[in-house]
Amino acid sequence: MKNFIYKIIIFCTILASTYAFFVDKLSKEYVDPYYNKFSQKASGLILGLSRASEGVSPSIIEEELSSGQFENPMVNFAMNTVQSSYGEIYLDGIKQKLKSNSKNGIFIVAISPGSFTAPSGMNDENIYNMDKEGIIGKIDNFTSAPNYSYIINTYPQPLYNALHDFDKWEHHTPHPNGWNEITQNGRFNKIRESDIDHWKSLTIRYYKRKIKKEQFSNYRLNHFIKTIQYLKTIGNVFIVRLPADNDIIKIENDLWKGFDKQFDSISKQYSVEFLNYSSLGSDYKTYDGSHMLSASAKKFSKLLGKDIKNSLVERNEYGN
Amino acid sequence: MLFNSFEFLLFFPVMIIGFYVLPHKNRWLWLLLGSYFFYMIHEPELLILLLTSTIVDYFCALKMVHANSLMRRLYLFISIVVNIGILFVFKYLSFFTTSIESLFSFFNLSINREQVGGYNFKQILLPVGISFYTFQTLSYSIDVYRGKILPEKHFGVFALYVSFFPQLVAGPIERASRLIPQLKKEISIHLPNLKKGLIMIAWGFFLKVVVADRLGVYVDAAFEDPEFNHGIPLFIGSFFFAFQIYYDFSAYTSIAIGTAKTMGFDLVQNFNKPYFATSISEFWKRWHISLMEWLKDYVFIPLGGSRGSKLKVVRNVLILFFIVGLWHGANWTFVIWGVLNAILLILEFSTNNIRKLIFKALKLPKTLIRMLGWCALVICLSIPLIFFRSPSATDAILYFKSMINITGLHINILNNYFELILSFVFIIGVQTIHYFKGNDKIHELVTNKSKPLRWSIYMSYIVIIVLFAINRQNTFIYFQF
Repeated sequence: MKNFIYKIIIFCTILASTYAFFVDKLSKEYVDPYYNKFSQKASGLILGLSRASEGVSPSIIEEELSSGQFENPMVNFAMNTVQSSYGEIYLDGIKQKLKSNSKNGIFIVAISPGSFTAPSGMNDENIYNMDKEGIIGKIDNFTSAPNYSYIINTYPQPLYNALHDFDKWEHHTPHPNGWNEITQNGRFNKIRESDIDHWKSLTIRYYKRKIKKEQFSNYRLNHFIKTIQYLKTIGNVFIVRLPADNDIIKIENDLWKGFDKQFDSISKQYSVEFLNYSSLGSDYKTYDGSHMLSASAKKFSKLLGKDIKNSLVERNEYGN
Repeated sequence: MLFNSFEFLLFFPVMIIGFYVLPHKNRWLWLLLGSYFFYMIHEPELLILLLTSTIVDYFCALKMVHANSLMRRLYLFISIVVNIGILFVFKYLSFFTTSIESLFSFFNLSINREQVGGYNFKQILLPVGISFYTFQTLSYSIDVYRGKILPEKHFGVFALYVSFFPQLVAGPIERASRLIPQLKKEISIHLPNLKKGLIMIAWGFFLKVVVADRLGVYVDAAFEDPEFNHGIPLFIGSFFFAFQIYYDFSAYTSIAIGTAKTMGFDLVQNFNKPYFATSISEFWKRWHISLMEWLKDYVFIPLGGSRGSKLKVVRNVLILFFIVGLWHGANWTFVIWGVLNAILLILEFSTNNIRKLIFKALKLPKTLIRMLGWCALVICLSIPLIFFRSPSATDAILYFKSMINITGLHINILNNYFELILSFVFIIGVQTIHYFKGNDKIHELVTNKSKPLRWSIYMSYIVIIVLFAINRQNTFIYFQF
C-alpha cells in the first residue's frame, strides 16, 4: 500500500510539473489576443469591443497627451462582444485593472450598438451569469506578467501551442499595452482587396444573424452609465464612437434608430464628452468593414488624442 | 460538482481516505454526507427535491409490505405521482405551457398570461440529474410493489442509494437489488480495485478533455451558423457530434464507475462498444444500457413488448422512443430525435429479410458486411442527432438544408487543419482501443504489463493530457438531462 501511495504521489508530481512547465513556457510566447490586456496595472483605459481593441493605440494617445499631467500607463482593455460588453462583470474587471491610487487617468469608453445587446428574452441574472463565463468572470488576476491565472482559467487552446504558435494569425501583432494591431502585410500573405470584400460580406452576415437572436438590454445600458460614473471619479471620461465602413454603420444606425442622439444626451446628462467619428468611415481602412487596419488605427488614434487634448484645453483641464 | 473541476480533485481523495479510515458502521453516513455535499455545493436548495423523493419512496415502500393489494397500489401511485410530478414541474412544465400556447396561437387563440397567474415557467431552474435519480428511485418503488425486492429498512442506506455521488447526476441508473446490498457489505481496502478505479477515472478524463471537448469545438462551430458553413463541414459536424456525445457520456460513466470502484463498489456498465453494432436494434442494446434496460422493464414490456400484432409492436416502439426522446429534454427536438430512431428501428425490422437476401446475392465477405454495417450505423444515427443538437426544429431543418448545399470543398471551418486531423486521429485511436478492450476492460491496457512499459504508458498519458487537452471547462452533455 505504501508503495502504491508513493507511486501515486510521483505520478501526480510529474503531471503537475509538466503542466506547470508548459503553462510557464506558453506565458513567454504568444498566448492569445487578450492575454496582454491582463498583464499590467493601468491608470487610463480604452474600453469597448473589438473595434476599439484594434482601432485605438494607447501609446499614440499617451504621446498626444504627453504633458505629464495624466497618469500612465494607458491600457487597451477592450475585447469583444462576448468578453467586454458593458455589465457588472466588465465593471468589476475595470476596477481590478486600475491602480488603487489612480486619480487622474484618461478613459476612452467606446460604444456601438453591439455593446448593449444580449440574447433575446434573457433576464438580468442570466446576462450576469453569461458574462461570468467570459475571461473577466473567470480570472482572479488582472495585472501580472506572467499571468498564470489567465492561462489556467481561460486559455481554451491545447498547450502544444507553447511549442509553436499554431494559433496566431500572421497579420496580428499583440502589443504589451493591449492594442491588437492588424497589418495588411503578413509574413507570408497580404490581405487583398478581394479578401476585404469577402470578410465585409461575412461581417454583414454576422450582423444580420445577431440581429435575429439579440435585443437591446437595459442591464447593459445601466451598467454603461455606472461605468462612466465610476470612471469620472478617477479621471476624464470620453465616450467615443469609432469609424467603420459606411455600410456597417448604416446597419447599426438602422438597427438602433437615434443611437447617436441617445448617447449624446447621456453624455450631457453625465457631463462627459461624446466624440462621434461614425461618419468618417471613408477616411479609414478596415479589413472586414468593422475593424481598422494598422495605418488607419494609428491615424485615428492620433486624431482621437488631438481631439481629447482640444476638449481638455477648452475645459481648462489641460496643462494647468 | 463537476468531475472535471478542482473541487472534485480535492473532494475525491478526502472521500476515499475517509471511507477507508472510518469503521464500516459509519461509512454510510460519510458517503451520504459526501453525496449531499457533492450535489448541493453550488445550489443547496436542490437538496429539497432529492430529499422529497427519498422520503416519499422510503415510506411508501415500507408501507407496501404489509398492505393489501389496493393499498399497495395506492402507495405505488403516491410514489409515482410525487416523483413524476416533481420531474414534470421542474423539467417539463415550461415546455408544456409553451407548447399549449403555440397550439392555441396556431388556431389564432391566445392565452392571457394574467389568467394563468402571469407566471413565466421558463424561470424554473432544471435541477441537475433529476431524470436520473427520479428513474432510479422509481424503479425501487416498482420493484418493491412487484415483490422483486424487500424494502430497505435503514433510511440512511436507502438515502445513499438514491444519492450515491458517483452516479447521482448522470447515471448509470442503478437498481436497488444491485446497489443496496453493495452499500451494506463490509469492504476492505483492495489494491487491484483502487488501481482499476483510478485507471477508469484517468481514461474518463482523457475521453472528456482530449477527445470529446476537441470534437465539441468543431461541432459548436458547425451548429453555430449552419447557413454559413454549408456542405461538407456540416456532414463532418454531425459525424463529430455522434462521437462527441458518445465520448462525453462514456467519459462521465468511466469516471463514475472508476470512482465507485476505488471504494469497492461495482456500478453497471452503460456502454458496450455501441458504434460497433451492426444494426439499430443492436445499437440500442449497447447505448445508455441502464436507461434502456429501465425503459424495457418498466415501460416496453408492460406495454406488451415485441409480442402481439405488428401494429402493436410498432406502437410500442414508437411510445418507447417517444419517452426516450422526452427523457432527454423538454424540447420537441429531442422528441423528434426519439421518434426518428423509432422509425429507423421499424424500417430495420421490416427490411430484415430483404437485406439478408441482398447480402446473400452479393456474396460479400462477412467482415466487409460488418464494416459496411458500422459505417451505415454511424451515418443513420448522426442524422437524427442533428435534431438532438440543434436548439430548435427550425434550426435543425436549416442545418439539413445547408448540409445538402455542397459548393466547393472547404472543410475546415476552424482554419486549423492540424486540429481537424487530430480529431480524426483520436476518434480512430479510441475506437481501436474500444474494439479490443471494450468499455469495461480499459484497465487491461496498463495492468499486467512490465514496469517499464507501464511507466511509459503513464508518461505518455501525462504528455497527451497536458499538451492536447482542450481547456473549455465544459460540463458533461448529459448533466442537462
